[in-house]
Amino acid sequence: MEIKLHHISRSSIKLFHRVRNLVSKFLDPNFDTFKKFEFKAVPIDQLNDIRKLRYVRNLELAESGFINNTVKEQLAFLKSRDLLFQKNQNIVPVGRISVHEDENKLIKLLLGYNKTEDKAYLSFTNVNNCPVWQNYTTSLLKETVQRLCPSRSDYLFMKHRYFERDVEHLDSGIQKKLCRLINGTIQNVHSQNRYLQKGIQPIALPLGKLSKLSNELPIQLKQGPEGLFVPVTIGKNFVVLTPYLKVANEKNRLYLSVQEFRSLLEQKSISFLAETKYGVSLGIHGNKIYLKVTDGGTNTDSLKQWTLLDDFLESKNAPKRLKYEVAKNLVEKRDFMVALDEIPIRPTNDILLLKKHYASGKTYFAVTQNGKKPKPADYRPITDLRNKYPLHYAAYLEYVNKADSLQPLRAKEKRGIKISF
Amino acid sequence: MVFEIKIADSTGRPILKDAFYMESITTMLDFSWGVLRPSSESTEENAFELFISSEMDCHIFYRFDSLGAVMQFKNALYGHLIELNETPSRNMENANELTHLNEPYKTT
Repeated sequence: MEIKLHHISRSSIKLFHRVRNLVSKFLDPNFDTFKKFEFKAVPIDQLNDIRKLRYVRNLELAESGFINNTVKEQLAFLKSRDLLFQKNQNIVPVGRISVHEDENKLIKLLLGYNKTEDKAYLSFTNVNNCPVWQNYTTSLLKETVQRLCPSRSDYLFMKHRYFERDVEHLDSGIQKKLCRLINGTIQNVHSQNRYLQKGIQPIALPLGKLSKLSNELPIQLKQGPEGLFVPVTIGKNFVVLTPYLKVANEKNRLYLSVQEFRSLLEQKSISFLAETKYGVSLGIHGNKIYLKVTDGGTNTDSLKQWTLLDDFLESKNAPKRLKYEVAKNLVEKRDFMVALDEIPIRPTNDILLLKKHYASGKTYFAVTQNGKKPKPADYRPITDLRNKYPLHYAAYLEYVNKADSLQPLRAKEKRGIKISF
Repeated sequence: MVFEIKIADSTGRPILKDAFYMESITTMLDFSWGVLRPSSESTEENAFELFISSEMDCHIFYRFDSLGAVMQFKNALYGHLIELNETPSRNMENANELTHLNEPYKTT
């Protein structure tokens, strides 16, 4: 009885689809062409057109009254893909953020916006280059980004691109909102992954060829995340830097000459230590001494940039007289003074400047009067202060007593400055 | 985003008409101009013509001197599309469940 019912049901399906296919033959010329030339000639899993697969389903139902699993699965796949494509049609792509380890891209994240729904979307994957959009949630973003880790190094870096050509047809208010959204997402991604935070380019001194710098990893030019910049273009004469955690525009890009860029990097890494009597300034970085000509000092091309002391002494282009002065006074005698403190003298506008002689450890002073900066040769031993400037001496005593009670001076002396010559 | 690519021969007859997906107009322009910019555009009257458009606008119109140059661009584009299309079958497994996931994020 059951078999008979089943047979009747299958026959009615066959009959229904035969009639339907007959109608299709007249209404849809493509159907007839497909039936003649492609049906059974093309394997089902190679049919990527949902319309053609529906023809197959209808023809098979008319033939046998049922369809096999391959057709069902392929139809389900194409229907899902069709849904994705339809959804994508209403979403405007806003930007892309990708996370990399060296040349490997670990993840690509797309941001999108649906104007009708006023909703933001995220996509981490795509099908046939069509993004699989998900609703934007900070928790989903965090969860995905926190999982990323490097396999060969201990840092990652990001790249991002704002799709300005895609959003330009939107209202300016919406454009601003989307720019804020992508900036917020970039900062969020960065703050959620410690390997991304480690991805900062170290500045190795002395600076050799700038072209050796990576144009993908950021450099910390100022404090905080806002101070991260990527040197995207390093030309012969100029350098262009873009903010790492923001969409770049004409206002926030930095255009620097190579000279300006070099001094900026050096300023970030070399701390000024002392000015000498022989026309060069001393800088320190990692316990190593760097030399640079003092403004208005020695007329030489060789020390226009901070130069490592050893490199300067080995250089063949440096003036012999200056080399001799440096070797004798700096290396041999340690004859230079390190700034200690500045004491304002009230009610005058004078400032008492204190420096410590590196070799002897003795304190020297000079006075800034009417804002005029004293030269290194103007510094006198502190023992002369009482006779020359009694008012300043009283201020100095008060400073020493206060320093003793708080111990900053002693702590400074105790810590000292370690320099490797 | 869906784009239509159309290439016409020197008589104006279409020799290729196809559609492809790329993530955005900006990405398509970045790629296309990256390939096209190093060479100079044809000034000949009877040149091969390339059109790339979306439903919004025609974004690329470029004239080539020879069929070889057209094919070079076409091959570069199609090669790039294959590179971009990563692991489609694996992605598809999650596509349904991902489509309606999570609470919406309001940008207002």
